[in-house]
Amino acid sequence: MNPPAASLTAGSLFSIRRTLIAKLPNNFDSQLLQAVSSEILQTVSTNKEINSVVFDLSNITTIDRFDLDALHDVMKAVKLVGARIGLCSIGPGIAALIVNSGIHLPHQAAGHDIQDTMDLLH
Amino acid sequence: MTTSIPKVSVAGEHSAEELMRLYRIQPSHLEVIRGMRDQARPRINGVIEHFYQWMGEHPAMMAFFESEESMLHVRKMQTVYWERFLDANVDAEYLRDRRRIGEIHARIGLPVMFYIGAINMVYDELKGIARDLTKQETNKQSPIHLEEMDQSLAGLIHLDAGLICQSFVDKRDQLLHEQSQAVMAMSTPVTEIWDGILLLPIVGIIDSRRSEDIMNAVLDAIKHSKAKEFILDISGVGVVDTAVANYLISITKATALMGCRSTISGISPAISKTIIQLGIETDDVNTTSTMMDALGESFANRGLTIKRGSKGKK
Repeated sequence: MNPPAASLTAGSLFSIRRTLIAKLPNNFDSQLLQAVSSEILQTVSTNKEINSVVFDLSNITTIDRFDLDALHDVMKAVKLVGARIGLCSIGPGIAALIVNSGIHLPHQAAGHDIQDTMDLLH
Repeated sequence: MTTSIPKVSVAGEHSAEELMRLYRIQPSHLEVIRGMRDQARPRINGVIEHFYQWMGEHPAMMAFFESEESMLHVRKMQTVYWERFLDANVDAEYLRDRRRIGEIHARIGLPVMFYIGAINMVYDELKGIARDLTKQETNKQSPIHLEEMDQSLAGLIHLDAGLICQSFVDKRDQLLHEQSQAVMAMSTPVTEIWDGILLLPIVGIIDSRRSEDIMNAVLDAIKHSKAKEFILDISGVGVVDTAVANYLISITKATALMGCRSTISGISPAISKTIIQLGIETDDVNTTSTMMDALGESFANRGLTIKRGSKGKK
Protein backbone atom coordinates (compact mmCIF):
# COMPACT_ATOMS: atom_id res chain seq x y z
CA MET A 1 0.00 0.00 0.00
CA ASN A 2 1.33 3.47 -0.91
CA PRO A 3 2.00 5.89 1.97
CA PRO A 4 -0.36 8.86 2.20
CA ALA A 5 0.26 11.48 -0.49
CA ALA A 6 0.98 14.23 2.03
CA SER A 7 3.95 12.41 3.51
CA LEU A 8 5.39 11.82 0.04
CA THR A 9 5.06 15.44 -0.95
CA ALA A 10 6.67 16.69 2.22
CA GLY A 11 10.01 15.16 1.29
CA SER A 12 9.83 15.93 -2.41
CA LEU A 13 9.13 19.67 -2.24
CA PHE A 14 11.85 22.12 -1.31
CA SER A 15 13.02 25.52 -2.39
CA ILE A 16 16.36 26.83 -3.53
CA ARG A 17 16.54 30.63 -3.57
CA ARG A 18 13.47 31.72 -5.57
CA THR A 19 12.75 28.32 -7.10
CA LEU A 20 10.50 25.59 -5.78
CA ILE A 21 11.74 22.10 -6.65
CA ALA A 22 9.22 19.29 -6.98
CA LYS A 23 10.99 15.95 -7.11
CA LEU A 24 8.51 13.36 -8.29
CA PRO A 25 8.81 9.73 -7.18
CA ASN A 26 8.75 6.96 -9.79
CA ASN A 27 5.46 5.55 -8.59
CA PHE A 28 3.53 8.80 -8.55
CA ASP A 29 -0.15 8.71 -9.38
CA SER A 30 -2.88 11.27 -9.96
CA GLN A 31 -3.73 11.37 -6.24
CA LEU A 32 -0.17 12.25 -5.34
CA LEU A 33 0.00 14.80 -8.15
CA GLN A 34 -3.19 16.36 -6.87
CA ALA A 35 -1.58 16.81 -3.45
CA VAL A 36 1.67 18.10 -4.98
CA SER A 37 -0.29 20.49 -7.15
CA SER A 38 -2.19 21.93 -4.19
CA GLU A 39 1.01 22.37 -2.22
CA ILE A 40 2.87 24.01 -5.11
CA LEU A 41 0.00 26.37 -5.89
CA GLN A 42 -0.34 27.28 -2.23
CA THR A 43 3.40 27.90 -1.87
CA VAL A 44 3.68 29.98 -5.05
CA SER A 45 0.67 32.15 -4.20
CA THR A 46 1.63 32.75 -0.55
CA ASN A 47 5.40 33.07 -0.94
CA LYS A 48 6.00 35.94 -3.34
CA GLU A 49 9.72 35.17 -3.38
CA ILE A 50 9.06 32.01 -5.39
CA ASN A 51 8.88 32.82 -9.09
CA SER A 52 9.62 29.45 -10.66
CA VAL A 53 8.95 25.77 -10.19
CA VAL A 54 11.25 23.02 -11.40
CA PHE A 55 9.82 19.53 -11.82
CA ASP A 56 12.62 17.04 -11.24
CA LEU A 57 11.82 13.83 -13.12
CA SER A 58 15.10 12.03 -12.38
CA ASN A 59 13.29 9.24 -10.51
CA ILE A 60 10.76 8.62 -13.26
CA THR A 61 11.52 5.55 -15.36
CA THR A 62 7.98 4.78 -16.52
CA ILE A 63 4.83 6.84 -16.84
CA ASP A 64 1.47 6.07 -18.40
CA ARG A 65 -0.65 8.38 -20.48
CA PHE A 66 -3.11 9.05 -17.66
CA ASP A 67 -0.40 10.22 -15.27
CA LEU A 68 1.30 12.20 -18.03
CA ASP A 69 -1.97 14.06 -18.63
CA ALA A 70 -2.25 14.70 -14.89
CA LEU A 71 1.31 16.10 -14.82
CA HIS A 72 0.47 18.27 -17.80
CA ASP A 73 -2.54 19.69 -15.92
CA VAL A 74 -0.45 20.40 -12.83
CA MET A 75 2.10 22.30 -14.90
CA LYS A 76 -0.62 24.34 -16.64
CA ALA A 77 -2.12 25.25 -13.27
CA VAL A 78 1.26 26.32 -11.91
CA LYS A 79 1.86 28.44 -14.99
CA LEU A 80 -1.53 30.14 -14.51
CA VAL A 81 -0.53 31.37 -11.05
CA GLY A 82 2.42 33.12 -12.65
CA ALA A 83 5.39 30.84 -12.02
CA ARG A 84 7.94 29.99 -14.65
CA ILE A 85 8.23 26.26 -15.21
CA GLY A 86 11.33 24.15 -15.63
CA LEU A 87 11.90 20.46 -16.20
CA CYS A 88 15.02 18.59 -15.28
CA SER A 89 16.70 15.19 -15.46
CA ILE A 90 14.31 13.64 -17.95
CA GLY A 91 15.60 10.24 -19.14
CA PRO A 92 15.73 9.16 -22.80
CA GLY A 93 12.73 6.84 -22.49
CA ILE A 94 10.51 9.43 -20.84
CA ALA A 95 11.57 12.12 -23.34
CA ALA A 96 10.67 9.85 -26.26
CA LEU A 97 7.40 8.91 -24.58
CA ILE A 98 6.36 12.53 -23.97
CA VAL A 99 7.14 13.51 -27.57
CA ASN A 100 5.43 10.46 -29.04
CA SER A 101 2.33 11.10 -26.93
CA GLY A 102 1.93 14.50 -28.63
CA ILE A 103 1.65 16.34 -25.32
CA HIS A 104 3.26 19.80 -25.26
CA LEU A 105 4.37 20.50 -21.73
CA PRO A 106 4.14 24.23 -20.92
CA HIS A 107 7.71 24.61 -19.66
CA GLN A 108 10.07 27.50 -20.31
CA ALA A 109 13.27 25.54 -19.72
CA ALA A 110 14.56 21.99 -19.55
CA GLY A 111 17.95 21.10 -18.16
CA HIS A 112 20.16 18.17 -17.29
CA ASP A 113 19.88 18.81 -13.57
CA ILE A 114 18.36 21.27 -11.09
CA GLN A 115 21.20 23.80 -11.29
CA ASP A 116 21.24 23.68 -15.08
CA THR A 117 17.48 24.30 -15.22
CA MET A 118 17.63 27.10 -12.66
CA ASP A 119 20.37 28.79 -14.70
CA LEU A 120 18.13 28.60 -17.76
CA LEU A 121 15.11 29.96 -15.92
CA HIS A 122 16.82 32.96 -14.33
CA MET B 1 16.51 1.79 -25.61
CA THR B 2 18.22 0.43 -28.67
CA THR B 3 16.26 -1.76 -31.04
CA SER B 4 17.84 -4.70 -32.76
CA ILE B 5 17.23 -8.14 -34.11
CA PRO B 6 16.67 -10.40 -31.09
CA LYS B 7 19.38 -12.94 -30.44
CA VAL B 8 18.01 -16.43 -31.05
CA SER B 9 19.40 -19.72 -29.85
CA VAL B 10 17.11 -22.70 -30.19
CA ALA B 11 19.52 -25.60 -30.68
CA GLY B 12 21.09 -25.18 -27.26
CA GLU B 13 17.81 -25.11 -25.36
CA HIS B 14 16.94 -28.80 -25.42
CA SER B 15 18.27 -31.74 -23.47
CA ALA B 16 19.10 -35.15 -24.97
CA GLU B 17 15.94 -36.60 -23.40
CA GLU B 18 13.71 -33.92 -24.91
CA LEU B 19 15.23 -34.38 -28.35
CA MET B 20 14.90 -38.16 -28.18
CA ARG B 21 11.21 -37.69 -27.37
CA LEU B 22 10.85 -35.13 -30.20
CA TYR B 23 12.37 -37.52 -32.74
CA ARG B 24 10.58 -40.53 -31.24
CA ILE B 25 13.84 -42.33 -30.52
CA GLN B 26 13.54 -45.13 -27.97
CA PRO B 27 16.55 -46.53 -26.08
CA SER B 28 15.92 -49.73 -28.05
CA HIS B 29 16.58 -47.82 -31.30
CA LEU B 30 19.98 -46.76 -29.99
CA GLU B 31 20.62 -50.38 -28.99
CA VAL B 32 19.89 -51.45 -32.57
CA ILE B 33 22.44 -48.95 -33.92
CA ARG B 34 25.00 -50.04 -31.36
CA GLY B 35 24.29 -53.62 -32.45
CA MET B 36 25.32 -52.63 -35.99
CA ARG B 37 28.49 -50.91 -34.81
CA ASP B 38 31.05 -53.74 -34.94
CA GLN B 39 30.07 -54.81 -38.41
CA ALA B 40 29.42 -51.33 -39.80
CA ARG B 41 32.57 -49.63 -38.47
CA PRO B 42 34.99 -51.34 -40.92
CA ARG B 43 32.75 -50.12 -43.74
CA ILE B 44 32.79 -46.46 -42.74
CA ASN B 45 35.81 -45.72 -44.89
CA GLY B 46 34.00 -47.25 -47.84
CA VAL B 47 30.93 -45.08 -47.13
CA ILE B 48 33.13 -41.97 -46.98
CA GLU B 49 34.87 -43.03 -50.18
CA HIS B 50 31.46 -43.24 -51.90
CA PHE B 51 30.59 -39.90 -50.39
CA TYR B 52 33.60 -38.25 -52.06
CA GLN B 53 32.82 -39.95 -55.36
CA TRP B 54 29.28 -38.62 -55.09
CA MET B 55 30.59 -35.18 -54.16
CA GLY B 56 32.90 -35.21 -57.18
CA GLU B 57 29.75 -35.20 -59.29
CA HIS B 58 28.73 -31.92 -57.63
CA PRO B 59 31.51 -29.35 -58.20
CA ALA B 60 29.64 -26.69 -56.21
CA MET B 61 30.22 -28.78 -53.09
CA MET B 62 33.89 -29.35 -53.89
CA ALA B 63 34.34 -25.57 -53.83
CA PHE B 64 34.11 -25.70 -50.03
CA PHE B 65 37.42 -27.56 -49.79
CA GLU B 66 40.27 -25.11 -50.00
CA SER B 67 43.02 -27.68 -50.42
CA GLU B 68 43.92 -31.34 -50.40
CA GLU B 69 44.98 -30.87 -46.79
CA SER B 70 41.62 -29.46 -45.71
CA MET B 71 39.87 -32.30 -47.51
CA LEU B 72 41.96 -34.85 -45.60
CA HIS B 73 41.13 -33.09 -42.35
CA VAL B 74 37.39 -33.11 -43.10
CA ARG B 75 37.60 -36.76 -44.09
CA LYS B 76 39.15 -37.59 -40.73
CA MET B 77 36.42 -35.62 -38.97
CA GLN B 78 33.76 -37.47 -40.94
CA THR B 79 35.17 -40.80 -39.80
CA VAL B 80 34.97 -39.60 -36.19
CA TYR B 81 31.44 -38.31 -36.86
CA TRP B 82 30.10 -41.62 -38.15
CA GLU B 83 31.91 -43.66 -35.51
CA ARG B 84 30.22 -41.50 -32.91
CA PHE B 85 26.93 -42.00 -34.71
CA LEU B 86 27.34 -45.79 -34.47
CA ASP B 87 28.22 -45.48 -30.76
CA ALA B 88 24.70 -44.00 -30.46
CA ASN B 89 25.44 -42.49 -27.10
CA VAL B 90 23.07 -39.50 -27.22
CA ASP B 91 24.11 -37.34 -24.30
CA ALA B 92 24.96 -33.68 -23.74
CA GLU B 93 28.42 -34.14 -25.25
CA TYR B 94 26.91 -35.74 -28.36
CA LEU B 95 24.52 -32.79 -28.80
CA ARG B 96 27.36 -30.30 -28.30
CA ASP B 97 29.40 -32.02 -31.00
CA ARG B 98 26.49 -31.89 -33.49
CA ARG B 99 25.83 -28.21 -32.71
CA ARG B 100 29.48 -27.42 -33.27
CA ILE B 101 29.27 -28.96 -36.73
CA GLY B 102 26.27 -26.76 -37.55
CA GLU B 103 28.24 -23.72 -36.43
CA ILE B 104 31.17 -24.70 -38.66
CA HIS B 105 28.79 -25.09 -41.62
CA ALA B 106 27.37 -21.63 -40.91
CA ARG B 107 30.85 -20.13 -40.67
CA ILE B 108 32.03 -21.54 -43.98
CA GLY B 109 28.66 -20.79 -45.57
CA LEU B 110 27.88 -24.40 -46.57
CA PRO B 111 24.31 -24.33 -47.89
CA VAL B 112 21.89 -26.47 -45.85
CA MET B 113 20.71 -27.94 -49.16
CA PHE B 114 24.16 -29.51 -49.72
CA TYR B 115 24.35 -30.79 -46.17
CA ILE B 116 20.95 -32.48 -46.38
CA GLY B 117 21.95 -33.94 -49.78
CA ALA B 118 25.09 -35.38 -48.21
CA ILE B 119 23.18 -36.79 -45.23
CA ASN B 120 20.69 -38.36 -47.60
CA MET B 121 23.51 -39.98 -49.55
CA VAL B 122 25.15 -41.42 -46.42
CA TYR B 123 21.75 -42.56 -45.11
CA ASP B 124 21.31 -44.61 -48.29
CA GLU B 125 24.73 -46.18 -47.70
CA LEU B 126 23.88 -47.01 -44.09
CA LYS B 127 20.61 -48.57 -45.18
CA GLY B 128 22.65 -50.73 -47.57
CA ILE B 129 24.80 -51.88 -44.68
CA ALA B 130 21.66 -52.54 -42.63
CA ARG B 131 20.24 -54.64 -45.46
CA ASP B 132 23.41 -56.74 -45.59
CA LEU B 133 23.31 -57.20 -41.84
CA THR B 134 19.68 -58.32 -41.77
CA LYS B 135 20.52 -60.95 -44.35
CA GLN B 136 23.11 -62.30 -41.94
CA GLU B 137 20.68 -61.96 -39.02
CA THR B 138 18.09 -64.31 -40.54
CA ASN B 139 20.11 -67.27 -39.27
CA LYS B 140 19.94 -65.98 -35.69
CA GLN B 141 17.33 -66.90 -33.10
CA SER B 142 15.91 -63.38 -32.67
CA PRO B 143 16.93 -61.44 -35.80
CA ILE B 144 16.70 -57.66 -36.05
CA HIS B 145 14.36 -56.77 -38.87
CA LEU B 146 15.32 -54.30 -41.58
CA GLU B 147 12.35 -52.06 -40.72
CA GLU B 148 13.56 -51.73 -37.14
CA MET B 149 17.10 -50.93 -38.28
CA ASP B 150 15.82 -48.39 -40.77
CA GLN B 151 13.62 -46.73 -38.15
CA SER B 152 16.57 -46.54 -35.73
CA LEU B 153 18.94 -45.09 -38.32
CA ALA B 154 16.33 -42.61 -39.58
CA GLY B 155 15.55 -41.39 -36.05
CA LEU B 156 19.15 -40.63 -35.16
CA ILE B 157 20.03 -39.24 -38.60
CA HIS B 158 17.07 -36.87 -38.38
CA LEU B 159 18.02 -35.82 -34.86
CA ASP B 160 21.56 -35.10 -36.09
CA ALA B 161 20.28 -33.18 -39.11
CA GLY B 162 17.78 -31.24 -37.00
CA LEU B 163 20.45 -30.23 -34.50
CA ILE B 164 23.01 -29.30 -37.12
CA CYS B 165 20.51 -27.28 -39.18
CA GLN B 166 19.13 -25.50 -36.10
CA SER B 167 22.61 -24.71 -34.89
CA PHE B 168 23.39 -23.45 -38.42
CA VAL B 169 20.35 -21.15 -38.29
CA ASP B 170 21.22 -19.97 -34.76
CA LYS B 171 24.77 -19.13 -35.81
CA ARG B 172 23.56 -17.27 -38.89
CA ASP B 173 21.04 -15.35 -36.75
CA GLN B 174 23.83 -14.46 -34.35
CA LEU B 175 26.03 -13.24 -37.22
CA LEU B 176 23.11 -11.21 -38.59
CA HIS B 177 22.49 -9.78 -35.13
CA GLU B 178 26.13 -8.75 -34.81
CA GLN B 179 26.17 -7.27 -38.31
CA SER B 180 22.95 -5.41 -37.60
CA GLN B 181 24.46 -3.95 -34.43
CA ALA B 182 27.59 -2.93 -36.34
CA VAL B 183 25.55 -1.34 -39.14
CA MET B 184 23.41 0.48 -36.60
CA ALA B 185 26.48 1.82 -34.83
CA MET B 186 27.87 2.98 -38.15
CA SER B 187 24.58 4.49 -39.30
CA THR B 188 24.13 6.53 -36.11
CA PRO B 189 27.61 7.81 -35.29
CA VAL B 190 26.63 10.34 -32.63
CA THR B 191 29.91 12.06 -31.77
CA GLU B 192 30.75 14.62 -29.12
CA ILE B 193 32.79 16.93 -31.33
CA TRP B 194 33.38 19.46 -28.59
CA ASP B 195 32.60 19.76 -24.93
CA GLY B 196 28.79 19.70 -24.75
CA ILE B 197 28.24 19.55 -28.52
CA LEU B 198 27.00 16.40 -30.25
CA LEU B 199 27.02 15.92 -34.02
CA LEU B 200 25.22 13.31 -36.07
CA PRO B 201 25.69 13.45 -39.84
CA ILE B 202 23.24 11.18 -41.64
CA VAL B 203 23.88 9.82 -45.10
CA GLY B 204 21.64 7.62 -47.22
CA ILE B 205 18.09 6.49 -46.82
CA ILE B 206 16.20 7.01 -43.57
CA ASP B 207 13.25 4.78 -42.84
CA SER B 208 11.13 4.59 -39.70
CA ARG B 209 13.36 1.92 -38.18
CA ARG B 210 16.50 3.98 -38.69
CA SER B 211 14.74 7.10 -37.40
CA GLU B 212 13.88 5.24 -34.21
CA ASP B 213 17.49 4.04 -33.89
CA ILE B 214 18.68 7.62 -34.39
CA MET B 215 16.37 8.92 -31.68
CA ASN B 216 17.45 6.23 -29.23
CA ALA B 217 21.15 6.75 -29.98
CA VAL B 218 20.89 10.54 -29.69
CA LEU B 219 18.90 10.53 -26.43
CA ASP B 220 21.28 7.98 -24.89
CA ALA B 221 24.26 10.08 -25.97
CA ILE B 222 22.71 13.19 -24.40
CA LYS B 223 22.07 11.31 -21.18
CA HIS B 224 25.71 10.19 -20.95
CA SER B 225 27.45 13.32 -22.24
CA LYS B 226 25.02 15.89 -20.77
CA ALA B 227 25.44 17.75 -24.05
CA LYS B 228 23.77 21.13 -24.43
CA GLU B 229 23.85 21.25 -28.23
CA PHE B 230 22.97 18.64 -30.83
CA ILE B 231 23.44 19.02 -34.56
CA LEU B 232 21.62 16.68 -36.93
CA ASP B 233 23.04 17.12 -40.41
CA ILE B 234 20.84 15.61 -43.11
CA SER B 235 22.56 17.10 -46.16
CA GLY B 236 23.34 13.53 -47.25
CA VAL B 237 19.68 12.50 -47.20
CA GLY B 238 17.73 12.72 -50.45
CA VAL B 239 14.13 12.12 -49.46
CA VAL B 240 12.03 11.48 -46.38
CA ASP B 241 8.46 10.28 -45.98
CA THR B 242 5.79 11.53 -43.57
CA ALA B 243 6.74 9.22 -40.72
CA VAL B 244 10.44 10.04 -41.01
CA ALA B 245 9.84 13.80 -41.24
CA ASN B 246 7.74 13.58 -38.09
CA TYR B 247 10.43 11.53 -36.41
CA LEU B 248 13.13 14.11 -37.21
CA ILE B 249 11.03 16.84 -35.63
CA SER B 250 10.26 14.58 -32.66
CA ILE B 251 13.99 14.04 -32.12
CA THR B 252 14.53 17.78 -31.72
CA LYS B 253 11.61 18.01 -29.27
CA ALA B 254 12.83 15.06 -27.22
CA THR B 255 16.36 16.44 -27.01
CA ALA B 256 14.92 19.77 -25.82
CA LEU B 257 13.10 17.97 -23.00
CA MET B 258 16.47 16.57 -21.92
CA GLY B 259 18.00 20.04 -21.85
CA CYS B 260 19.77 19.85 -25.18
CA ARG B 261 19.13 22.34 -27.99
CA SER B 262 18.89 20.76 -31.45
CA THR B 263 19.71 22.14 -34.86
CA ILE B 264 18.88 20.38 -38.10
CA SER B 265 21.27 21.39 -40.84
CA GLY B 266 21.34 20.69 -44.56
CA ILE B 267 17.62 20.25 -45.20
CA SER B 268 17.33 19.90 -48.98
CA PRO B 269 14.67 21.86 -50.92
CA ALA B 270 12.82 18.58 -51.60
CA ILE B 271 12.72 17.63 -47.92
CA SER B 272 11.77 21.17 -46.98
CA LYS B 273 8.80 21.02 -49.37
CA THR B 274 7.79 17.62 -48.04
CA ILE B 275 7.78 18.86 -44.45
CA ILE B 276 5.65 21.90 -45.33
CA GLN B 277 3.25 19.94 -47.54
CA LEU B 278 2.76 17.45 -44.74
CA GLY B 279 1.74 20.28 -42.42
CA ILE B 280 4.35 19.38 -39.82
CA GLU B 281 4.72 22.05 -37.12
CA THR B 282 8.25 23.46 -37.45
CA ASP B 283 8.08 26.70 -35.46
CA ASP B 284 10.17 25.31 -32.61
CA VAL B 285 12.71 23.65 -34.88
CA ASN B 286 16.05 25.36 -35.26
CA THR B 287 17.56 24.92 -38.72
CA THR B 288 20.62 26.07 -40.65
CA SER B 289 21.52 25.58 -44.29
CA THR B 290 24.92 24.02 -43.63
CA MET B 291 26.65 22.05 -40.95
CA MET B 292 29.22 24.84 -40.72
CA ASP B 293 26.50 27.36 -39.79
CA ALA B 294 25.10 24.94 -37.21
CA LEU B 295 28.56 24.46 -35.70
CA GLY B 296 29.05 28.21 -35.59
CA GLU B 297 25.75 28.66 -33.73
CA SER B 298 26.50 25.86 -31.30
CA PHE B 299 29.95 27.22 -30.52
CA ALA B 300 28.45 30.66 -29.97
CA ASN B 301 25.76 29.23 -27.66
CA ARG B 302 28.51 27.54 -25.66
CA GLY B 303 30.38 30.83 -25.43
CA LEU B 304 33.11 29.65 -27.75
CA THR B 305 34.62 31.60 -30.63
CA ILE B 306 36.65 30.29 -33.51
CA LYS B 307 39.73 32.32 -34.37
CA ARG B 308 42.20 31.78 -37.14
CA GLY B 309 45.61 31.12 -35.63
CA SER B 310 48.90 32.40 -36.95
CA LYS B 311 49.52 29.14 -38.85
CA GLY B 312 46.21 29.58 -40.66
CA LYS B 313 47.06 33.01 -42.10
CA LYS B 314 47.34 33.14 -45.86
